[in-house]
Order: sequence, then C-alpha cells, then structure tokens
Amino acid sequence: MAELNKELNKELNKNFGKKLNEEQLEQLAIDLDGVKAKAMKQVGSTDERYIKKIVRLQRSLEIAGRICLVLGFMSLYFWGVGVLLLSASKILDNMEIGHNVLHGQYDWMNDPTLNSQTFEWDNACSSESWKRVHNYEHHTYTNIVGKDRDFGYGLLRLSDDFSWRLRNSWQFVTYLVLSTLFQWGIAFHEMAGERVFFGKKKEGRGSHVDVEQLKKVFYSKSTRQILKDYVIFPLLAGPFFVMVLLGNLAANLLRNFWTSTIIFCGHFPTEVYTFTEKECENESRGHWYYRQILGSANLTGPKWFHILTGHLSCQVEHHLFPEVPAHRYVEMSKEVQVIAAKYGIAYNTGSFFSQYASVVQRVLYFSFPVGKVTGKKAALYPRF
Amino acid sequence: MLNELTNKLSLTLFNNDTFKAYFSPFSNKPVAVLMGEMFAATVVAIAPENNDMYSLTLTITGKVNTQSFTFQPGQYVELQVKQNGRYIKRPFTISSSLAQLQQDKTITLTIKKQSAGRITPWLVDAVSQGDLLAISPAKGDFVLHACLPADASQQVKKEVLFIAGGSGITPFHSLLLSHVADYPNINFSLLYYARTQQHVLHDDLVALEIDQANFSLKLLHSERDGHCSLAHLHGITTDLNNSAIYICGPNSMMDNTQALLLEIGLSGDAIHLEQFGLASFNNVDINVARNVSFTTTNKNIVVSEVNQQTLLTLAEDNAVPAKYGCRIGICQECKCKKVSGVVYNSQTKTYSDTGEEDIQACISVPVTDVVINL
Repeated sequence: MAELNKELNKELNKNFGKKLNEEQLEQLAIDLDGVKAKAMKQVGSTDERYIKKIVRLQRSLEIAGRICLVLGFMSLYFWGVGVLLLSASKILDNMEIGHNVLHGQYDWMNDPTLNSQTFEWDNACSSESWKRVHNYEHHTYTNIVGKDRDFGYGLLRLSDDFSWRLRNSWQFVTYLVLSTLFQWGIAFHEMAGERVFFGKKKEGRGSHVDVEQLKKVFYSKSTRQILKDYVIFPLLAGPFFVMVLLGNLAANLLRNFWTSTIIFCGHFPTEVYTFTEKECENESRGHWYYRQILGSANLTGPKWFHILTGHLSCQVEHHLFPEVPAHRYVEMSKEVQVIAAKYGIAYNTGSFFSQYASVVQRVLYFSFPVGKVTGKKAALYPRF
Repeated sequence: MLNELTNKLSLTLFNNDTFKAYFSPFSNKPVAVLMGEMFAATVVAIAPENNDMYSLTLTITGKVNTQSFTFQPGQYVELQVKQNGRYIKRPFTISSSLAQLQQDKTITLTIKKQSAGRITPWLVDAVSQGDLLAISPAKGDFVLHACLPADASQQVKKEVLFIAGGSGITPFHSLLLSHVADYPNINFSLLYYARTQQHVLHDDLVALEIDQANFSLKLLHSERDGHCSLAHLHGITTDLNNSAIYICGPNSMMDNTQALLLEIGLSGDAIHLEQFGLASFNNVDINVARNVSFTTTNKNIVVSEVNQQTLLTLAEDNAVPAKYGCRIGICQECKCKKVSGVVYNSQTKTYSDTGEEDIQACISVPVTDVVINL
C-alpha cells in the first residue's frame, strides 16, 4: 500500500501544476458534479435543524448583546461583553446566515424567512445589490481580471495584471481603511462600478439596473442601518444613549474587520491564480471548476472558526458549490482535495495566520512599482 | 396604520418584515401559520378508507387576513406539510360537510395515495394525532353556486346531477352532505363509479338517500357496469336537458363523459368539471406540447414537443421581463417562483417537485404544464 502511494505521489508530482487538457477538464467536471450530487442527496432535515439553530443563536446573541450594552452603566465589563456578543451576532447574520441564504442554499426549504429572494441582512449593502455583484459578477467571473471587480475592489493592486500607480504606494493604508469601512465598501461597490456618483463610466459596461434605482436602494437601506444602530437603539437606552451608540459602532467595526479579513484570506493569499478574459471565453464547466479551485484559498481551523467565517474558510468548496448548504463544505473538502491531487491541481490551504500573512505580503509587494513578476516570485503570484 | 408602523420598525431594527418573522425560529409552528398566511391545522385523526385512500381530519384554528376559516362545499385547500426539512404544499378536496366545520371546527380531507407521489403515500405514516400542519384558505369554483342564480330560495325545481369516478367522490361527499337538506326544491342525483368494494365514503351517502327525498344515489361497479352510458344517465334522472352536471374523476373518465353529454346535445355551460390533483410524474410524457403560464404578465405560451428551451429563454422570447445573471446556473439571479408543474434542471439532471417552489429559470426546462410567477 505504502509502495503504491509512493508510486501515485510520484505520478502526481510529475503532473503537478501542468495545465489540464480538455479531456481532463471533462473528467474533472464529472468528478466534482459527483461530489455535489452526493451532498445534495443528503440535504434535508439535518440542514434545516442546523440553520434554524444558528438563527436562534444569532437572535439570542443579538438580544443579549443589546441588553448588556445598556447594563454597561453598572460596569464597563458589561459593555465589553455586549460589544462582543453583538459583533458575534452581526458576524453570524452576515456570514453563516446572510451570505449563505442569499446564495439560495436554503431555498429548497420553502421557508419565507430563509429565502434568497426575500432575505435582508444587518449590513449597509442591500441584499439585492449584494446578489448582483457577489453572486453574479464575483462567482461567475472569479479572479478574471477586469471582470471580477472583487479582485482588488478597484482600490488595490493585487497582481501584475494592473500597472503600478502612485496611489498604490500607500495601498496598505487604503486596505486598512477598506477593512474598517468594509460594509460601506460593499454597499458602494455596485455603484462604484457604474460610476454613479463620480468618474466616467467605462465603455461597454452594461448594467442590469438603472442608476436611479441603485441610488434609491442604497439610500433606503443605509438610512435604515444608520437609524437602527446610531439613533433608535441608543434612544431606547435613554440616558445611556452615548454608551449604546459607541457599543454599536464598536460591534460594527469588529464585524467589518472580521468579514474583510476572512474574505481577503479567501482570494488574495499568495499562490492564488488570476485569469484573463480571453482564457475564459466560452469556457467549459470543467474549466470553470478548475478556475474556482485555482482562484480560491482555504483556512484550516476548529468548528467554531468555520461557523464564524460562514464556512468561507472553505472558500474553494464554496466557489465550486455555492448552492450547497455551507456547513457541509468541511466534509466535502476531503473529497475535493483527493480530486485536486488526482489532477495535480494546486489546492491552496493553510492556517489563518499563515494565509493572512501572505495576504499582507501580497498587498505590500504590489504596492511597490514592480513590473511583471518573474522568477521565484512568479510562483507566488501565478497567472493562469 | 399601526401595523404598517410596527412593520417598518421591525424592518429597520431587525431587517425582518415583521417582529413575528424575527422571532419565528424560536417557535415550532409552521412559519406560514406564524406569519398569518395559512391556518393552523391540528391532526385529529388519520384513518384508512380503503387500500389506497385515507381520510385526514384536522382542527382548523387561526386567522388569515383577519378571517377565520370557511369554505364552500366542493372547494379544496392546499395542505402544507414538512417533509425532510422542507415545506411542501399539495391541493386536496374537502370531503366533509359545512356542519362538521361549524360543530367541531374540523374538516376532513380524503386523500388518494399517488403511486409514484412524494407526499401522499408518505403522509399517511408520517403524521399522527396532535401534529400541527397548515392549510390555505379554501379555493376553487366547483361549487353549487356555479349553477344557481344569486337568490337560491326563488329557485324553481331544478335538477343537479353529480358524476363521480373513484377518488373523485370527495367534493360530492361534501356538496351532498352540506346542501341536500338545505335545498328541498333541488333534485340531487349521484352516479358513483368505482371498482367493486372500493366505493369509499358511501355509508353517509346511503344514509342520506334514505333520509332525504330529493336525493337519489346509484353506485356503479366499473368492472361490471363499464363507463358512463346513456342508460346510466337516464336511469337516474328524467330531465337531463334541464340538469346542471358536475363531473369529477380520472381525466379519461371526465373526457369521455363530457363527450357523451355534448353528443346528446347538452350545452357546455351546463357541465362543470373538476381537474383534481396534479399529474404525478410517472404519468408525464416528456414529448408533448406544454403550456407555460406567466402569471405576473398574464401570458400563456404553448411550447411545442420539440422545444427544449429553458424558462428564461422562453420568457425573453415572449417579452416577459425576467431577471438574470450568469445564465449557467451559478448566481441565482434568475430565481423565480414556480406555482405548479414539473421542470427539469439541466445542470443537476433532476426533475422538480410538482408543487410551489423556487427555481432557477436559466437552467429549468418545462416538462409538464407549468405556472410561473413572472
């Protein structure tokens, strides 16, 4: 057995990193479709109980958190706990619940409170706009430079596909600002692409929604969010207005840092591939799968960590199977890794700290006016 | 007004349309009941009628749009059950009388096990006394008022003929138990076709015939007596030309009977048909023309048997506005509500359920007649 494994590994190493041919891509699609079909067959009351449990947890954390913030007048300790509970609730709402529900992972339940068409989350970005930019643009055109605007968010230079500009020299600071204001960044993301408020619209960039509609939805959602955390809940606390307002602000910031960090860890560690439009014209399903594996990166960690990331710690599996209930990704990743190894496809995974360090490395590296990446570095920032 | 304000507050504070929705995960009640969209239906009894039919009796409570539950005999309700974590709705005819609802607050649904059905064979073992299900308000126009003028008391003598085939007896059971005593000036007759020993619900009808002079009943055995014939019709009523006729049964039986009645010169207006139940999948012939109805735009499109286009393409070709994104089944932007019918998912290579659910228009090909909210 050991001998066989050795042989197999030798064979795999020989093929490792080689581009797959059409035949292999076809086979890859069949293999991965099989993993998906197997998981979907098991989807049922387990998933229903799971997501309902998470929603109950989120609601309990939110209520407890908001109460603790008011109790902060007795001891600052309460205030601190309140911030942590409320931010945990917001993180669950945005990631394990919101992000996944909006992908339609629970639509099969026919439950109107967990339906992708009607769900709204605790985030400045309206779920409608999120679905268009994230579900459609990002998930369809993952890491295709010029089509997937999530690659750098139009603010950061993260590969040598973009030429260096002066503003890239301080892009690490830009990145920190983006992380701090992350929910506003994504709320603004679609309108930024459409150049709604400033800048000139790129030619040939078609839009599904007219600009007035975008503005209307943006203002109505963001007004509600501001009213909630910075006016109504603080007012309900009466004399403790400021304490509650600051608590809500802190919880929002913690959520922003966490979501931004996890999302950056999913796509921008070193060794994640970028693609050009040309390579992906009329691509087969196999090639789409191939690109999803090469363009995403995983994080390892305990169960609670996976839950708090909304299972985006399994970014590879999420990109392969966006409609499969996310709590199944950890289990599915075992099979996906075997398949990736079979075809010699690089499967990017690592601990939170090592992946995040490499994200920082990428942001810093491309802030310098380096041109085309060559030599040893090319392996860190590969282009397909 | 106050309601609107609380809902606005709920949306602002909790991003849920109502406070009820925000707290709904803490309740074991069906979500549609909590939200006031369906009535609560508690199982009182579930009893077999014969080998492939059973009766489910439910206590109905709650309100929908501030109205308590009521129905007209002959109508159906949608019953919502939860199967493997998933809410599924199916239409079933009410077989019980109005009096039963008024006295006990219960209704009875008499259900046939569809041989390849996902719900009806399963339901009989899956639910037990005390379980909480949900039902919709009553729907359908297979009711007596369809043949009566507005003021029934002014009515001159009138003949009403019911023709039932097999499990098609259910609406007539409700109609007869509810109406025969109340309309002494109407002559009711029932021709009831079923295989020998399979005449479900007939005890009450036999008793009713003994009690009421204005009701006559004929039980026919399809093996012995064959299909509905002129002899059967004349055997039960003398005034066929002045009769309002209601037919409910298997599609072939309804088609044949209707053809026979038209042939002898009856007007189509006098004939009322009830298409009960949706085709279960084993009866589906994929290579036939299908109707695609878009409800929002009120368009009805006939799709030829060779046309295997997706619903998104069909919508676009017929100027039905539809949202879309990737067009390859990834992004879910084209999700829309299918009200009824079976679609084929060209990506997962699976067939959908027959009832209401969300589907991705860009990868769904209609297999049967489908109704889509677009």
